Amino acid sequence: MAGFADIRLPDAVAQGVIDGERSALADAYGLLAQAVMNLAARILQDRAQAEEVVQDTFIDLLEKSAQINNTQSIVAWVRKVAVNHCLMRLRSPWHARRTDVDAHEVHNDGQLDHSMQWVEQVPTLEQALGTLSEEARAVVWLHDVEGYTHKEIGALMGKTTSFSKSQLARAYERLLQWQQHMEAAQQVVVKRADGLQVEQQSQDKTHGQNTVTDIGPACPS
Amino acid sequence: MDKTPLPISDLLALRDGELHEAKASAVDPQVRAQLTRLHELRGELQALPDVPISDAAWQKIATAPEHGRRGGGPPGHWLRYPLATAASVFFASLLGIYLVFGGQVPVESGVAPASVVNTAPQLQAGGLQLAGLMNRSRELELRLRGVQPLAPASDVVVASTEAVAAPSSVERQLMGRLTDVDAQIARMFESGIQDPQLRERLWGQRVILLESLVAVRGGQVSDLFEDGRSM
Repeated sequence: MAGFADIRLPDAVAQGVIDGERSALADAYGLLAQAVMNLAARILQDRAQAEEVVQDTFIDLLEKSAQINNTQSIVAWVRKVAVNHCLMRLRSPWHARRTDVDAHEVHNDGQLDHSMQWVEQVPTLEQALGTLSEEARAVVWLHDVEGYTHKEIGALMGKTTSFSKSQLARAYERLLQWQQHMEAAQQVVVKRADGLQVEQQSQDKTHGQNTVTDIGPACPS
Repeated sequence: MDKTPLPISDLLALRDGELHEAKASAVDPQVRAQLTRLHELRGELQALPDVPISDAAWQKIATAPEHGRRGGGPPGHWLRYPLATAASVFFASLLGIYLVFGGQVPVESGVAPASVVNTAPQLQAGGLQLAGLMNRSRELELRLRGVQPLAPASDVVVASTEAVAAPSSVERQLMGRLTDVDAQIARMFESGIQDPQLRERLWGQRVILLESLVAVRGGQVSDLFEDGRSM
């Protein structure tokens, strides 16, 4: 997966972006857009909104590039702007109501769902990530993938460092449940496969297809 | 040796090198196994595949005006959200028209029908001050039960735990348009653009969308359809 940490913008492209050159912006887009899309799509869990974040981010770059003093800071600037666009959308009360969030995580009594039933519906890590609350998912992505510290995340979200840590812990409780269930399910599949193989070997012997007895002459008595 | 299981928060801190050395020295094989799982999960997250971007995403950026070359009206904002803007204006106007021409509209007690059905023509006539639009917007949000504007994220999470019905597809569309309008307002604020006409247009759109949402949640639109009234 394309991530910001792996991206190095050539100096000529970076300077061109700062100077407002369209061709340089296109080059920067080619290098950075995928990382922005990955970040936005995973946080927002909505491809249409994630593409809007991509557009907003690069339009901001087009409009404000002259304010960037250092060619080395463009990648970090783009990431920061993309994160801000994502968090702004998460803060919108209309976004929260529209997505009917936390359907899997919270029951009417406000307790976490510790049953394993939800795990069976999410066979991939991508889907397990989608079942987290928006805040927990944002913290997981910013901390574990984008490398933000808890202090930085707290500041970005208008919360404390402790909040960021607790959200990460909450997210991993669910992700670990998912991981353990997936491992258990895989073991069941393996056992079944082994059972089928043993059964097949037994049938082969019954029908005289054992290669050991068929090969070579009988031992002299 | 202390066999008390470490809480997940401590395990994560240990994984990330943030835990105090005194606890780190008490790591046992079971903890190591848990740490391995945490490392694996982080690795799997970092290895998730790229999410595809459509070609259309670049097209809008390519046609956006450059900084310092904007005219009196900022067409860039409308270009950035053409579909969302057009859809929100069309849809909100459609609902507004039904409210206006649909005859007697059952409204909540204490609210005169004129204050609902006449707002759209008033906005269309223009001339409402920005402050009035903002006040009207606030009134409508308060009527929408528990959704507070500019609420911090934690309050939004609390709101999501309330026993509210899942939004209908019409409501989701309206809320999606509201998200877009809010994003435009926020961008205008952050960029410091001084354009009273644009600001008034955006807040006007917000009021229309909120009124539409109030009407939809009150079941007024569905009542109009069931009455068989048409434009």
